[in-house]
Amino acid sequence: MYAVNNTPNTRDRSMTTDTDCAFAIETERLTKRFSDKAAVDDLTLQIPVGCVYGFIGPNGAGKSTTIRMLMGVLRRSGGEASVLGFDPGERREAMRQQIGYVPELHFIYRWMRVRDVIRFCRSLYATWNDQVCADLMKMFELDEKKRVKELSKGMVAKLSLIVAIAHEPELLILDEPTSGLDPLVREEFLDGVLRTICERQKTVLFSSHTLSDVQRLADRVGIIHEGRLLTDCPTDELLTGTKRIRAVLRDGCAPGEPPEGTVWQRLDRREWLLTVRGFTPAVVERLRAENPVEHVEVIDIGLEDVFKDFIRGRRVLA
Amino acid sequence: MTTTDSSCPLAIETAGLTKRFGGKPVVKDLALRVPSGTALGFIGPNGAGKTTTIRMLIGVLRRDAGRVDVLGADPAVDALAVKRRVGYVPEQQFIYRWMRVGDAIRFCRSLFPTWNDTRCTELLKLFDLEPDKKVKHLSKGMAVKLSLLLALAHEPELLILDEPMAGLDPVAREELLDGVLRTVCDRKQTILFSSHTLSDVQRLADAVGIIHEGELLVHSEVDALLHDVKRIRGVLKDGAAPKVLPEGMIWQRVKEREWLLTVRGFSRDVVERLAAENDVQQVEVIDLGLEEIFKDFVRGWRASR
Amino acid sequence: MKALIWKDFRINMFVLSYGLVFLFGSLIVCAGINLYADLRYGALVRYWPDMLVLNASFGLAFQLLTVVMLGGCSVAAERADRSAEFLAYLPPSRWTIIASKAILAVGAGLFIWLADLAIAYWIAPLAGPIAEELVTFRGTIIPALTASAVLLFGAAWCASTFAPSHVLATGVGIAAPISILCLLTAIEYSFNLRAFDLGSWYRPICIVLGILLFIGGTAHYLRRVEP
Repeated sequence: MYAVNNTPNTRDRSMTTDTDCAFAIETERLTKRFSDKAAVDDLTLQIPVGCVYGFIGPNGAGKSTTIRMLMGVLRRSGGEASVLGFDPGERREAMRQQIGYVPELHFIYRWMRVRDVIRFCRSLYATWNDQVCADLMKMFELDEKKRVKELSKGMVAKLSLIVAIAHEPELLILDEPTSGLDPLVREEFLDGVLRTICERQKTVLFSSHTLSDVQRLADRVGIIHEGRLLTDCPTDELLTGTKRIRAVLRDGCAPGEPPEGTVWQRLDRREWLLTVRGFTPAVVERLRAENPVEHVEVIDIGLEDVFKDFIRGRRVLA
Repeated sequence: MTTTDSSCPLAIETAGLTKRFGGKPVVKDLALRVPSGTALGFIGPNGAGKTTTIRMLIGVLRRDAGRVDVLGADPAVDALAVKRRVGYVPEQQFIYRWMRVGDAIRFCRSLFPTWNDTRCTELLKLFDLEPDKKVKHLSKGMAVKLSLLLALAHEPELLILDEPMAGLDPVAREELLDGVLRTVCDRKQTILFSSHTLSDVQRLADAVGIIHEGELLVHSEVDALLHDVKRIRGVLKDGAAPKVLPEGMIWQRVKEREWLLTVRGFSRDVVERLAAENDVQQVEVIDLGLEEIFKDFVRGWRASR
Repeated sequence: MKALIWKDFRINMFVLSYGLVFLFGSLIVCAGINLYADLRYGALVRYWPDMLVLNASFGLAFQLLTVVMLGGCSVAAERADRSAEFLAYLPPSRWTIIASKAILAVGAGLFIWLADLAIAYWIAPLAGPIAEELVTFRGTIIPALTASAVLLFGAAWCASTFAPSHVLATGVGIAAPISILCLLTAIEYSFNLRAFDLGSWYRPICIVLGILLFIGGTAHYLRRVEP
């Protein structure tokens, strides 16, 4: 049950950074325009094989559009994309044999019974593994005689995951799969995901608004905002390199220039809050030296706050 | 422990509320009491009966048995009176997609006699909504904000939110939560809201009701619950097994020598007794957040079946 | 492919059962009436072939609805309940998906249509000689119905690849032959072209248009993006 808690980023997977390392997903200036408005704008992304990539961003930032282009469901307006070595626009059938996909909304045929869904999908994949399927069915306690329309939302999400991983795909794409699920189902669902990726070197592209889950699971995080990638780096690096600084200003004084790498700041009377990227102790010293501050304190923040500050900072600029 | 003292007027009161679908009870004998001016977080797993209960409270679904009283009226008898005084935000927004934001506002305005235009303008500004935009062009966060605006602008005495934040990004969620807090707190509105983001519930709610398979497992004030439910971690002596389980235990798990258990009605006494009556080496008490408490209640309930 | 056809069969099960009920139901009613007449009034066996011809002819009129529903539901029914989006992310190519739909819809339509034709042209003569006026009737109505069916199916199929719901697609299908008929009549009367007998153009126009729409719809389906 607690597998999720025990296996954060410490999983033993070789995240090779050699020059010859293969990328499961590689895009170059990927762009999608909807009636002239760019939903995805010059997106360059490289996801190494075996990486769990957390793809996060506000609603409408272009996450789903990107994923739909990678799945070959949507045609790109510009740029290049390669998924497992395939061009998604060209050979999407062969490509999809090696991909598992779980969407936010599940539109599995509502009239089918659970076992019909399994049988239907089984016939579409060349590499379906009955053992994996049976194990997951048991783990998720799904009743195979029930019709999809009789299942609760959590159950449908679990069924959707089974169908996405029983053919042992090389790449698993999860597009906000746990949205609207209760905490217990979410935990079981993530257990199911971990089960498959821990065993072999599988690549996962995982978009979610539950950033505590992303923080726990992802080796690498990309933040996308208005179609552009704001940041793309290993989760640990993002968390250790981004800190919030809380400074108390001297009475009646205004702060000077915020330090380099400030992603967001807020001044509330004498309290000056800043979130700084590329944090080092030198930043604090400089801040202390250059500003009329009385007291400075550095606060560790989780992925959720890092994300919020990145987005809020961007909005202030805009 | 109980959420109400009898002198306080109740905005929502149900007793023995039951609903069956095809003979299968979805809501069983539910007794809910929400005092006026408080916020109740209504939480439970998917398919536990939250939405069914809410639909009975606002009078769109007929109940099979029991008594319901919402703002002094019975929604099954006088659904119109209830609907006029209740603001409701469903999980999925069903506002006509072809309307513009302004059209949707005018449409709802004509339906509610108590519509307050100044308040509507205020909210429009607070939520940063453009009246000219078409509903189908709104992002998910904006659509929820519009839905909330429509639910708040007729100044309801009771606000019912059914998983309003599902699928929203953290920034939008926080803005929305701020909006609710800011507009509701100073007006003494009663709130019933269901959500799976229990950190939000912990922030907004005065009391929580945990519902599972149609039954109310817990109905308590949040602070009292956080104070009352603790997890105890004991390390068992080599080869020993737990002997005496403490009273009020809601969930436990033994994994090798580690014994985890969650108890309700916690006191130092419980820990001392546990240490005395079992072969444990070391005992430690862990504070739990609402999410863990919720999980343990449901897991414990499932294990007991 | 087998699984896809099974799925399309299940989706169209109600339409198919409607077709079969009219195919066999009317035969049973007709046989019942004839048997009753035989028992009551003695051997009037010569009614059997006439009854079968009439039955098949009117049966085909009902089957027009089956055909238009098969065409209209083919693609759009899955779009209406959004299960098309589930299918869009699975491995089969759009080509296989549409081929399966075409095999089922065309196959089922042909089966039902040919069954009625067989009754009219093959089984009825086996039962005995057919009345003269019925042979003429059969010769006029059945080709007209068949031509209409091709257009109904083609138009509904094509609309189905565009429309967000099968109701709309079926409606467009029904409208197609009616509009052709109206158009021809209007032209004939406005330009006073009775000598040319535009009525006889109806059948070829329907067949050609139906086939073109079927091909056009299929091509559009292969190119379009769901939803």
